[in-house]
Amino acid sequence: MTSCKYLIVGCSHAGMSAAEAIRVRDDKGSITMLTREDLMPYSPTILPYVISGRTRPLAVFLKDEDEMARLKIDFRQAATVSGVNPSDRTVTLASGDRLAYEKLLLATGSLPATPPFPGIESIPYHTLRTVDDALRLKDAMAGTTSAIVLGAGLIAIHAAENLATAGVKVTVIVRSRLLRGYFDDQAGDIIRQILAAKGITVIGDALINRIEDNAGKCMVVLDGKPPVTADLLVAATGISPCIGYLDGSGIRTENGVVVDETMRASVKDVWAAGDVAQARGFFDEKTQIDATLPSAMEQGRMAGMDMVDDKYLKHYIGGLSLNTYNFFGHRAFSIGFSSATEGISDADTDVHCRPADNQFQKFIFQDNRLVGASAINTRLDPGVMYQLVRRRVDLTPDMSNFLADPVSTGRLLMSEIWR
Amino acid sequence: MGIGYNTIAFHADKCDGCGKCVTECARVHSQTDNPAHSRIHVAWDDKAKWAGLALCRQCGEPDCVSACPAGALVKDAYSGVVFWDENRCVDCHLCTLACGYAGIVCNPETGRVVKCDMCNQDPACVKACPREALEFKKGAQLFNQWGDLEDLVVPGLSSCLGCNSELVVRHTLRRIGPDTVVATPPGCVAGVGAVGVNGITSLKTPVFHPLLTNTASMLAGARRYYNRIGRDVTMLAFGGDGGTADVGFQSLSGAAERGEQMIYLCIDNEGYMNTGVQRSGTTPYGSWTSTTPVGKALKGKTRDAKPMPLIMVMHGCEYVATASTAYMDDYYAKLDKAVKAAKHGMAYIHIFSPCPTGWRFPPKLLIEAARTAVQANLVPLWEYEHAKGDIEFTYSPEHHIPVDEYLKLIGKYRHLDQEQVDYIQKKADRNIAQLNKFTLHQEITTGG
Repeated sequence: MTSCKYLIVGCSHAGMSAAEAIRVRDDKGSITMLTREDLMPYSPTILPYVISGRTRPLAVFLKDEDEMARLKIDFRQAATVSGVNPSDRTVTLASGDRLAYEKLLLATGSLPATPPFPGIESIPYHTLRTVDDALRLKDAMAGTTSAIVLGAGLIAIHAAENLATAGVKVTVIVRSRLLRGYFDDQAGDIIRQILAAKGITVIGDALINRIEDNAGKCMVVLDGKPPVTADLLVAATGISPCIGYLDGSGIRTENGVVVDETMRASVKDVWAAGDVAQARGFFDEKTQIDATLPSAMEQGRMAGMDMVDDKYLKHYIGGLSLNTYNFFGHRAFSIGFSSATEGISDADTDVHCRPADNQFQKFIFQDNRLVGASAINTRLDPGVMYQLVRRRVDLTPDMSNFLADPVSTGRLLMSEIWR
Repeated sequence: MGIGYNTIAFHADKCDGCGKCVTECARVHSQTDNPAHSRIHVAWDDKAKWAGLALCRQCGEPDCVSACPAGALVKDAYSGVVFWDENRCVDCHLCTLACGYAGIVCNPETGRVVKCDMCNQDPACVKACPREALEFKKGAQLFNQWGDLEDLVVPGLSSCLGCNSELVVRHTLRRIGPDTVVATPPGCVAGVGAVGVNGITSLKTPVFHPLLTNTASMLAGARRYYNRIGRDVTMLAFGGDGGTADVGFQSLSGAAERGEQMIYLCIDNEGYMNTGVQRSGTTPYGSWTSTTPVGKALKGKTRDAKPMPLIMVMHGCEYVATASTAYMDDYYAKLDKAVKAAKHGMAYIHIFSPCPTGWRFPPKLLIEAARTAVQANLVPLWEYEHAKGDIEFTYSPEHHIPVDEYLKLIGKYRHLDQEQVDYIQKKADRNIAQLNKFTLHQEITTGG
């Protein structure tokens, strides 16, 4: 049985950020990193660009062998963990091998959730979570003229855009509306119209009755709306953290691995970060799965810092809805709340919407602090807005300037506060 | 040791929001003056007359790099610059969310991100700034160059908190190296443990403890001995201002006149700081000391400081320079010249050394004090090479700040009235005028 000081299971953003944070403090301690695939580390975020051909499949990797060697990481591919035994600090691999660790990070990410629709099991469908998925979808696109995308999230509409760009007629079917967590109705309309102009049909508020085979094509039967038929079905209806291998380990899981404010799991010397971790939220302490790249990076770094007792480690401020969305040359982003919610009235929001120019800008405040920013085609700095939310900056003295010129005011505050 | 990187520093107090940096950056990177192409942006607050700078900080652990799903951003280990690979970038713009400094932003003309590449270590924005609000700091190069050299002073000297002399001693010996004999007359440097106790010293070079009166003559004798046995060893004195300008002056003057080969470093903390803060010959006008008290009759020192560095120039030393620990690159360059000059004659360096304990200011302001005194022209930085015969400024005295900016930092000047401040300002102006006129061209050859 081999052993290592730090064992990291998973090699995407959370795992890599942790390894880099460990190396800041501990240049020598052995790091072993496992991946279930036989590829170098990559980010699932890149996959939509693989299917469009914008990124060559071989150029997706975050690190090459040299860089992994420089970080002194013993990187093992095709190594799937089948069990964790905290009592003797070992993990068991699917191959039957066992590996001893001193400190363990679970960064196993997530896999697509099985779409909850009757009939889905009888139809071959595509998901988009691994390079293999992306390559399979890319192959299937050849000779395809139409596709249905199920799902309202970023993976779904990135896939839709890339299919449409390749000349496929795309219909997106969503339960309520696109990107609901990120944008309000007005912004959602602008996005939908831009997609429509590019030939992407979005069917909103759709209840899927069943999915069935129709002469070799896939047919989605909807309640109260005409059925949709296409050559190809892509399902992106959510993700499910990979935690099956933790059964019987004693590590506390709910939807994911429940972690505290420094990403520690319920069992000593075990941490979790990224899509697999269930950590506190920014606006409330209830734990949640926060499957975005920036969160994976931050959680991974925190776990790594805690694993080496880095004294600069601070407590996790909590996961925040956060993303950028660039589509057909338009650029959007969303941070925190996008619609009035409990405890926030419409009076606390400031909206500028110019649908004719595809422009939208919305701020939501609570006690004169920014708690939400969402925008399409503006010059706002997403990172500066994010820091204003994160740092809970009191905008009382600057509110009129901020509303009049948020770009300059944000940059001035940035220079003053977090220089 | 790690590696240090050059940086672009921004002095918001000097910026007037003219935007020349923005235009120049756009011009260099896109051959147009469209600010959309610029990697630097200034947010100007017209009411407060204050600027915020949106520019890549080239972070040590850059979040933009960690957040890039395409591996399109890489921090270059050699230059420290975060480079953007346009071929790998998929335009997801997650980096713009990860960066809190608006250092990587979307260029609306192209839809692609742009960020500072430091213009191959010669940033155009810095050169375009008419007010020196942007500064290209190369201080890190010193670290890269000298950081691996041995610190010839043991850890844990018994100096006061924030002692400038300790900084001077460590840097100086690191640069000059182990083939050195050090003389530390009575004063702070000896007092903090350089000469040690019970035969154990804190320096890793030979060190001896002359009297206050005979430092230069003892070093002269030691150097002559080494010359005689054919060894090239640098003689180095760490004198205080009392041991240099007052008590030790006759032996120093004699050694300078004879052209003895040594580096004589005067660490000028403007008084006898280790014996109870008494005035010395270099204590400036207006200073409070325990022997120039502030009360009904007296308001600090009534006489000006001796212009020691100029007095040493007049001795015809091989090399004379002034220095400040706020300008380390300048100091290192001067040490290099001093080492060479000391092979032929005397090299004299007068280093300004603010003393938190004796001057009554918080230790954290040490470097700030060392910097502001230079910027206010109270400690002009210059050098004199005997072969050239001219005094040359190494820090331009042209755009100086009022002396008040410096005086208000220092407790020993707290009592000054406006009349005294005006006097100090006039004196500073006159010193610069005098230095500007100074020349000692050596056109006459010696007879015989």
